[in-house]
Amino acid sequence: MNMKERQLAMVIDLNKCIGCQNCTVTCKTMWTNSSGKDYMYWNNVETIPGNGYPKNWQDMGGGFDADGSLKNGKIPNMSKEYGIPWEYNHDEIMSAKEFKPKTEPTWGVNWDEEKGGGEFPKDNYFFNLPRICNHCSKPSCLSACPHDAIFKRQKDGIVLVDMDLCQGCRYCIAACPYKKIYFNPQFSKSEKCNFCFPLIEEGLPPLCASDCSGRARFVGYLDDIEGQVYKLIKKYKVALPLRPDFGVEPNVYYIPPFLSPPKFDKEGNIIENSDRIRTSELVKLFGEEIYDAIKTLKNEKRDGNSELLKMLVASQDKDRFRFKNKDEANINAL
Amino acid sequence: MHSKIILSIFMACLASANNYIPAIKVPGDVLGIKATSKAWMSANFTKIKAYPFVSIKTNDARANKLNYNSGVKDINIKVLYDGKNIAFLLKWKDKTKNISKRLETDSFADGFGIELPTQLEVMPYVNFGDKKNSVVYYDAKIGINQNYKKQNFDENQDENSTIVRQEAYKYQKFSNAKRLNLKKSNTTMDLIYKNGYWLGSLSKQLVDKFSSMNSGAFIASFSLYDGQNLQRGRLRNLTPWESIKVEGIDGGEQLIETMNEHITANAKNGEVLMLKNCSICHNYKNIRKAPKYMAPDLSFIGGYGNLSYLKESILSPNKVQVEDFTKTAHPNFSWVEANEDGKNISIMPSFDWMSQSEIDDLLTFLQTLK
Ligand code: SF4
Ligand code: SF4
Ligand code: SF4
Repeated sequence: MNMKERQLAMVIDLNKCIGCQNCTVTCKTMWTNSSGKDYMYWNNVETIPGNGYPKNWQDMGGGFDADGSLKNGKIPNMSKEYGIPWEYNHDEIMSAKEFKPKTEPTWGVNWDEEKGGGEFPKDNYFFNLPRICNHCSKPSCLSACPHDAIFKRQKDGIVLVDMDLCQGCRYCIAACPYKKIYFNPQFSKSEKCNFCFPLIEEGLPPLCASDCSGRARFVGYLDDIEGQVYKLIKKYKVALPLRPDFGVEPNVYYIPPFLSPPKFDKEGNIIENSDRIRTSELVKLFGEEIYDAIKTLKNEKRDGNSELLKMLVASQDKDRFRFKNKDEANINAL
Repeated sequence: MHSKIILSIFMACLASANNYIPAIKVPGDVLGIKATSKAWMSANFTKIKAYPFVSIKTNDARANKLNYNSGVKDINIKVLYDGKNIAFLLKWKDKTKNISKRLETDSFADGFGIELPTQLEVMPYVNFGDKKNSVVYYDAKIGINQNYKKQNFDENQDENSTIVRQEAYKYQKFSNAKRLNLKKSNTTMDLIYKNGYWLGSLSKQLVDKFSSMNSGAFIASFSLYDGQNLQRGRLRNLTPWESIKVEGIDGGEQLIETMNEHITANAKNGEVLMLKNCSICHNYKNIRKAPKYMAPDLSFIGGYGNLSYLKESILSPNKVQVEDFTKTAHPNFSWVEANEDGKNISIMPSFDWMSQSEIDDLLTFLQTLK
């Protein structure tokens, strides 16, 4: 890989994500805290099973078909699928009225939080799924933009919208199968996660990764073979892309949940070797590779000295973030 | 057509009605005039037609369908000039007023566009120009006032707090835009809804950095966007290149004549030829035999395609190379490909082997596709 054609990637360990929404809040405060962006969350954490944000995004089309042609897609509706942010009656609270939203909330970024599946206490379960733009290697948002307003940076693969060229036509939103590009109605432009590129340029990790209280996120270059990201994705193959069937080659990868507690039988006894999160249910999200990934993770867990397990613990920043590889360090030293 | 516009001399029966939009000279200053200005009283409306632009298929299936069925629309148009500046007024009927709303992500605003070639005497591809011939495209839609900062999301939007969102781009080909600074070039647009009609205006200097209309006649094309039909970007109602006669400046007769060319040969035979030769790649009207993204849909090509463009496309398809929706949207159906010498060529073959009368028949039929 040419030094100029590099790709940053993020790995999110779903076993460590506690659904605290620190990432959501830090991103909201940093990037989408102004008018017209009220409803949008470049980072969101949703619950599986659940409908997610925007509601039922997985069924909205987009991406590419087997021939490599853009698939038709839908632009989500603000009130039905994103949810209009609501206000509370703060001004009335002193008159001893009920504290309540002023309008009936319809949907929201974390609507089905911890709704979960299964039956309590037998086999109920849920897990969190944090989602950001995948800075895809084959971004369908870019392919759909008739104004060439979306570009992918060669030096790190970050996908950005050129606000000067964007005309708010929203074919990109229909095209993104993850619905990770959003329309700003106030400015009539489309906006998306920028992988915190101003920080990347300073050698710092994106905010959603550095503010992660569960230390669940790893960030680095895919061609840095000494890096954690490379090892988790390429060497151990335990980090998998979300919905690889969408055909856009996403660059956010997930360590699937493999540590779910065992189920209980009718009497409330533990069923040995059972998993509340069934691997078969993860296939839709992560593809057939999930079986091997979970097998590897479980095997390594039994090995007290596993490099992989140590890597996943990652207590220090340097264990999770790596922005230079040897070659680049050498180039810089020249 | 990317060379000079030349009169076709060999066509069988060219109709000679010279329709054009007159640019009326008025005293005073037309720069900055609004859509409702009294100055417009000095001119009469000329009626032109705008056809659904369906050559490409976008990835928004609902919008493709609504756009296809949007119907042929009348635009009433006036042009004024004062010697230094020029102003256009468009009036069109629209039952529904669609503006972009603060709390909506999937609705689209009504609006209009005016397209001008950057060079006099060339005719770029009418849909945003081509590689050799650039156009400037002015676009106005009703948007939300960007200073609008109501803190409560549930309060209804004040309809008065809208603005005319005006933008201008230079296009060199299908998907290659450069944003232009409207203020710097003293260009203003206006758009208002009154009694079931939209009134849209544009005023600019006759000659500025981007285009020149200081000539006996020039060409322009006009677009309508109907938010109700989810029209935006390429999906719109589009006129062919129309000729505008600048009254008081000599010349331009030849251009007007060329733009008005119409051919009346044997349409029936043209239809047979079309089915035999073109329908393998092109879909049109109810003839849908070609693979979906193979080539432009020709259902309305006789509407927004001028005759000289149609003729050139058949005889020398490489002169104006039309690209698909975007370069990477349907990579298996690329409309422009590099040949052995690395030169980009259109995948459409030339039909110059046809006899003169066959070409005339085919063109006659193509003209009926609208
Ligand atoms: S996730 Fe969506 S918005 Fe992000 S690069 Fe991929 S296609 Fe584009
Ligand atoms: S909204 Fe902007 S970025 Fe999206 S397709 Fe249209 S011009 Fe491109
Ligand atoms: S990388 Fe930055 S912009 Fe993107 S979701 Fe994370 S915090 Fe937000």
